[in-house]
Amino acid sequence: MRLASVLNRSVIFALLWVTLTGGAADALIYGGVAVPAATLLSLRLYPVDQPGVVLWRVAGFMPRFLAQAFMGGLDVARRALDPRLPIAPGWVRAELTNRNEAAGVLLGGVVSILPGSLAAGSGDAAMDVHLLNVTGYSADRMQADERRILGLFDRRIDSQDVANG
Amino acid sequence: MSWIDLAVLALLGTGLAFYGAGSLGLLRFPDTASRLHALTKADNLGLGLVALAAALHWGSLAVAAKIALVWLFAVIAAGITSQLLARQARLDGTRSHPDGDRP
Repeated sequence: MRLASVLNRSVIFALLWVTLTGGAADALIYGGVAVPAATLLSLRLYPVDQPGVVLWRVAGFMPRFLAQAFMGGLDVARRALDPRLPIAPGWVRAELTNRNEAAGVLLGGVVSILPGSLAAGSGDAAMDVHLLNVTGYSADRMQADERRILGLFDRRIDSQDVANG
Repeated sequence: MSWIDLAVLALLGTGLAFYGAGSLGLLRFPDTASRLHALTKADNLGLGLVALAAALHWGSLAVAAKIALVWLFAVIAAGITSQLLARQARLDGTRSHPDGDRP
């Protein structure tokens, strides 16, 4: 299990290197250093005993992510260009159901892509969210987004649910 | 001029318009966190459209994959930086006004 995870990460970093360098032969030698270095750093920053992200689930999430990125950009551009400047900014504190920090960071990234919301870090099973229109906040939508993000992880994430202590 | 050239021009033009809107938001929005909305969201979309134009212009799968990765890394970097900046804006706001930095 542990070796498989290490190999998994090496293969992903190697694929990233080959894609970014276009498979150029003279770049391979640098890749031979960069790929193991990136793997070691990733193992140090996020050890394999932590809940893992399931790649095919992330791939399944991408169409939704791209559509949301499009809607988010459109919404903020519309507000910035409107002469009346239709914004009513404010903060809310959203309760989370899981304490995992990696899931919190990922959720923050996705929340910041959504139209009108921007994450300002999470901790203690809650997240500070800034809204361009504070009256339009929906706790249900936030919970649905958290469920989607937790669904990208393997089952080990469940042990960090707030309900499980 | 081929259909591809027209599509490239349209994507580039739209992408630049989003960059423009993002910069306008940076100038017009009243507080730090609102300005971050404009910068991250509009610019991510602008970069995505410009990247799509570049991928279409070069018309190779390898180049398109490279550009898609560059876009993804830029989005991740922007997402992390904006969370850190928003966190600081939140803390500063709480210190000066107990209700946050409402204008």
